[in-house]
Amino acid sequence: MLEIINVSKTFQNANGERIPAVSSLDLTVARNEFVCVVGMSGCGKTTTLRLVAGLDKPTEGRILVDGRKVNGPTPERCVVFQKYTLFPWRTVRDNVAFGLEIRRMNRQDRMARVRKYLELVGLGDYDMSYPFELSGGMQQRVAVARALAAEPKILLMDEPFGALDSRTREILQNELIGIWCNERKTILFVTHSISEAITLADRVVVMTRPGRIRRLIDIDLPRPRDKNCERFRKYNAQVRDLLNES
Amino acid sequence: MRLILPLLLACAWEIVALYLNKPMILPRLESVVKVLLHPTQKVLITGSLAMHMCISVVRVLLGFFLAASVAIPLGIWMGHCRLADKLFDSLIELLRPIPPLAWIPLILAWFGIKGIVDWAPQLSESILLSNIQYGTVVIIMIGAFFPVLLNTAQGVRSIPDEYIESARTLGARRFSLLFKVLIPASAPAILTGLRIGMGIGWMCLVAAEMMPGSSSGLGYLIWYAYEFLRTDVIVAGMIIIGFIGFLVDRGFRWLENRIIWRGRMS
Repeated sequence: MLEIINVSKTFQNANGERIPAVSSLDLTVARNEFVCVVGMSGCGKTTTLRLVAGLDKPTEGRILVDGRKVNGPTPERCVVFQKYTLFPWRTVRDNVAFGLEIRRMNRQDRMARVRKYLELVGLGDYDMSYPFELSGGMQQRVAVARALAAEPKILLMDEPFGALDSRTREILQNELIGIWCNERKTILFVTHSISEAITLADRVVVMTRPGRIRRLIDIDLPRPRDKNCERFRKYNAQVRDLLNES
Repeated sequence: MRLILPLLLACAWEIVALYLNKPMILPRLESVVKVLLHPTQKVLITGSLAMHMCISVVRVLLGFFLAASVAIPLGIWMGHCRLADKLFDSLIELLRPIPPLAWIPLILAWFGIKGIVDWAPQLSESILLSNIQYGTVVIIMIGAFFPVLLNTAQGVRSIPDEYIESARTLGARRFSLLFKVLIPASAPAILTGLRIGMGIGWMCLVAAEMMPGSSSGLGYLIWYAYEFLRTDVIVAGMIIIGFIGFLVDRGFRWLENRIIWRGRMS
């Protein structure tokens, strides 16, 4: 379980002024829940994710994972970024094995686990390829496999499909739902796309400037979700109105 | 194709040399080739061409490795840690514009003509090692140091944050981050720095070998030959210096293509 308790984060700009990025945020994410944070750029959604990852420290408040305070990044909370971050000097296989090597897992277990997660994202045959040989969608699949291979408690995703074309994006959304159903992971997913949030999430967190939660919306739709059904469109309109109000 | 211009230059040279007929100003091609073809024979009254060559190469390698072993770690530190960058930046930018050769008088004052033989007398048996003076090595070090340092620092600095952050969320700390991310990610830049540093070190060497107290090496040979107006030896020495520099550069480029990963970090 992830608990964000009264968390604020301020940054200092070039003039020395303190700019709030996140203010008095409270959010609890249950185990195996899929939560999407949606909002316009500058609303503090990426900051929130970075705080949970431990990449930034909150100015106030605390973040707990299973009751323990977050203090720096760990493989317990892996991040998939929007930018492609596969290591270009490593093959696909060795990219996925990265976290396991650091943990000094023995070679046999490592290779077995790498194979499992590469097959899960449908890239079992590309283990010896280098990142530059893969398309953007394939690179992000590998990035997801790399994060999953670390078997994190919480998977953090910062607009992971933001740089992909819309068709690839839809395919990857479906795959992610499939993986989430099978693997049962807690996922915190940040996006600026309203329909992406509604397609994926159990619960959508609508954030507005300056770093506040505007509303939490439970998405009560069976998966896979049809973007054209009436209730989907209603949710879509509801979130859009909330974002437009601010 | 690549050989056309060097061959044309050789032809033009031979024609001018024949026309001038003054070997002290411009030696005939064949007399230079004759020197080059007998690398193990004594040249003038000093050692052989091969010996001078080996001594020069050992000096450069020594200075180069010393420079790299300081410049690479420091460069990684400066590239990764903003505080270290601020701490060293102004000092380095003050020292960098000073030509390595401008250090010669000061270095002569410090080290004189002392070499590693003074530190380990048992080495005087070896012609190679008894000819390594501190001064020469330090000059080469200074020449090779800055390109390696600046390229390494820039290479590490230009690693996008997301790569380092991904590695950290996957569990990389200190050593694993250094050896599994920072070094491989900046390897192309480090190698470029080493190639440039080696080139500059090689150029400094010849000048350093012309320092007083020097009694061996290709630079010394050229200078010594000048006193006898043996332009054929001078030109032969110059050709060897150029050729070794060329080979080393090629070697590094080959290494860059072999070892270095393809693609780019966005």
